[in-house]
Amino acid sequence: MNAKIVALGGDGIGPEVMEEGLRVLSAVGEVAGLEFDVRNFKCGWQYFQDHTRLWEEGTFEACKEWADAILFGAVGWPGARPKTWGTYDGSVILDLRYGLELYANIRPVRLLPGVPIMLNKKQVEAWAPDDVDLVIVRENLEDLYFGAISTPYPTDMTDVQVDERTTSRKGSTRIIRFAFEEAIRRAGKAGRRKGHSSSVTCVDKSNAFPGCALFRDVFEKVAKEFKRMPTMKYYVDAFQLALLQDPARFDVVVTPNFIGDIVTDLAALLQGGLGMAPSANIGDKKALFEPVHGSAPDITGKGIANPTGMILSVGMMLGWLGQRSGDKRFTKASELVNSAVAEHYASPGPKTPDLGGKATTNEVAGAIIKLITH
Amino acid sequence: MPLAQTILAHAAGVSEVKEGDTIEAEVDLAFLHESLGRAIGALDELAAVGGRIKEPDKVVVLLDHWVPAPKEESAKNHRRIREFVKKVGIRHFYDVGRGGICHQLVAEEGFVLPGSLVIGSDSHTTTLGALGAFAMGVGPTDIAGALVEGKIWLHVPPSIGVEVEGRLAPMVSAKDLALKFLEMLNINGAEGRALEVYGSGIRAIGMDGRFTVSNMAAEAGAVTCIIPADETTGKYLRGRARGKYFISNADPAPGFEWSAHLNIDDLEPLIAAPPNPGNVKAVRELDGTPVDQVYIGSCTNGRIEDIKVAAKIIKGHKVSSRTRLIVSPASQRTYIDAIRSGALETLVKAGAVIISPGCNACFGGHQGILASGEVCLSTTNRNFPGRMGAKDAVIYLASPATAVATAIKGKITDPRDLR
Repeated sequence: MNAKIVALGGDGIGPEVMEEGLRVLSAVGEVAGLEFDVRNFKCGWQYFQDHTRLWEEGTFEACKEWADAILFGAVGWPGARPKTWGTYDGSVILDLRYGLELYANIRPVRLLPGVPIMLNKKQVEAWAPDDVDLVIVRENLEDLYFGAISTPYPTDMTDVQVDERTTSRKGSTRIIRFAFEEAIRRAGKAGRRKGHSSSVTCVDKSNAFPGCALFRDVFEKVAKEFKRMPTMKYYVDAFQLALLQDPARFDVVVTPNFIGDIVTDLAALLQGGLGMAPSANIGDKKALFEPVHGSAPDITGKGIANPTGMILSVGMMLGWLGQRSGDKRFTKASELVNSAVAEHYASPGPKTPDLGGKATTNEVAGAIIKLITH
Repeated sequence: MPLAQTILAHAAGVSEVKEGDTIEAEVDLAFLHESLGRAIGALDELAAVGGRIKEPDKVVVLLDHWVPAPKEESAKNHRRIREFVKKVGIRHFYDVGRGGICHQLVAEEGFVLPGSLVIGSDSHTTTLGALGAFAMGVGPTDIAGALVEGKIWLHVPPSIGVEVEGRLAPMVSAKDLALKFLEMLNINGAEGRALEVYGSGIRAIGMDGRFTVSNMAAEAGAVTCIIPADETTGKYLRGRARGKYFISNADPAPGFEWSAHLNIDDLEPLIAAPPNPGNVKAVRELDGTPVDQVYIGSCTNGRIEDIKVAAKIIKGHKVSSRTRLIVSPASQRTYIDAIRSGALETLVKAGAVIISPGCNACFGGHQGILASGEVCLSTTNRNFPGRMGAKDAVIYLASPATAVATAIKGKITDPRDLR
């Protein structure tokens, strides 16, 4: 057994895309000569409605003690609202993030040739694949979310709700260093990316919030350690506009948690929508990989969810396992997955409805698997 | 406030301005080249209703795009301009043989002062921001209005701050820094913005290099590109400045829309490939590409330091038989300096052709036009299809050092790889 994976399908379309993600994993494993031990656990708000708990017994322990990596679908279901955000009766994803100290949320934003950009249900020619190749590195543990864990939800009696925001020098330094190292990795041996300048961009609202001012101060200090790397600093309002107007300007972008939460969904537009967006939650020991889309109750059960975000998340997971173990078979498997997805979209193959096609989740994943195994 | 706003507030006679404010600002200097021909009609109409040029001494008129006149049409325009400046009493007129490229001329003649508001009828007026001025290009009719009113309506642009640290390595120049900016900003990344370039890295670069940096900012869409004046600026202005000015050594004030930081210790020779100046690569990525023509000149890189660098590198070499080297000093003064330094003799002996100061082939005018399919490596600022002649000619933009290394080899060459 080469790697142990916990699979958490979760709610809505989560289990639907998980099924395809695991199919891809076993297919690429066969090609690359890797075996995976996969353990599935049920979790999420649909599970909660029947069991009054958010996940099967032993799930968290399996993630913490047994797994090398975690593959995650989605959680969230209408009507299932928590009274508090607390350990084990709160949120699956927050428990995993905090429990496993997954401090870096990585969101690659790449537009693959052949992927249509859908705006207002119409296909638009807004960006070229060469324009869109950036990574957003979002701090994952601090900020408004940390305070929210132990804060009760407002009731009808609540007139004023204060949300506490925490920013630490230690947490900021860790994520900002991660971003600079990511930029160096992306530049590769040549020391420069093809066609674009390497850079790290700090996105914050330091002109309004002291927490962001601390984040920016740390950014400036860390930048001095990596003095060869060009840097940019944006306020988030100006950044949102610049991201749409000229995404080619950006390479690695680093943000505090809350700001990153918001800008990453907008950034998904540049890569063809949420269905195309993978992500990773990385800590020093563990990592969790998940498509960016949510549980999508509106299309649950129809079998039309785009599996690409999940498949690219599998690709990221394999890349991380390779980086961590030094085993080149993982790296090769990661490249196989990524290039099969790119090849799939470069040719007029089946596409799910979010990209203007008519294909099912299963058909798209099947076509990609064929490209991996041929 | 960023420097751009400080200058505009002063010009508007108020203590503070904000991004997006519309202000009426007093113009310290307006200059026009041949495009004056297109403003004469408007100026005559304004004169007919009593609108005379308010302060003719704040106006500079010169000829630079078509000098000496290559065809009858330009000769006629030149004659019209000569008659007009005489009629309205513009003293600062620089005719053929007396001037040079507008941006170089108004700088070296001391018309541009730190802290002043300068408008010019040319898109590369940003060049003069290198002297710590707010310098922007405007259309000839806008200038006509400003000449009569002495003032111009402006939107206060947001500012982008770029801090530059480090030192340029040998064979790497301000042009490579300008191209690095374009790689970072792209061809529209500073659209409608004022750039402010500051820091120890830019302070270590001489005036000629600073002009190059501010010049190329126009390609990123910048309204202006201000480099705060320092001792180097003061030294340049000594004996030239036509008025009083003040150099502040204050740190940049906050208020940038966004900012960037760049260390130039490891900057390498860069090159912009077609189809636009934002398509930047390392020169070594294009190593060996055959080149038919090399052009050194223009408001970007036709200054004395550029010509001296070219001469120094080419000494002991010849221009490759596969290519031709054209050198155009940016102004009459630059021409004389280049003669005195011996640079022109070295270049001519190596096989270069020296052409008269002016815009020449840079904008596809004359003296070095490209045929269909030809490849040119140029020290100028634009490489859009058809910019220097045939639509399908290929233009690369690079530094004078890269240009001359390429001329010696007949193919694109990183100047560090020569010999």
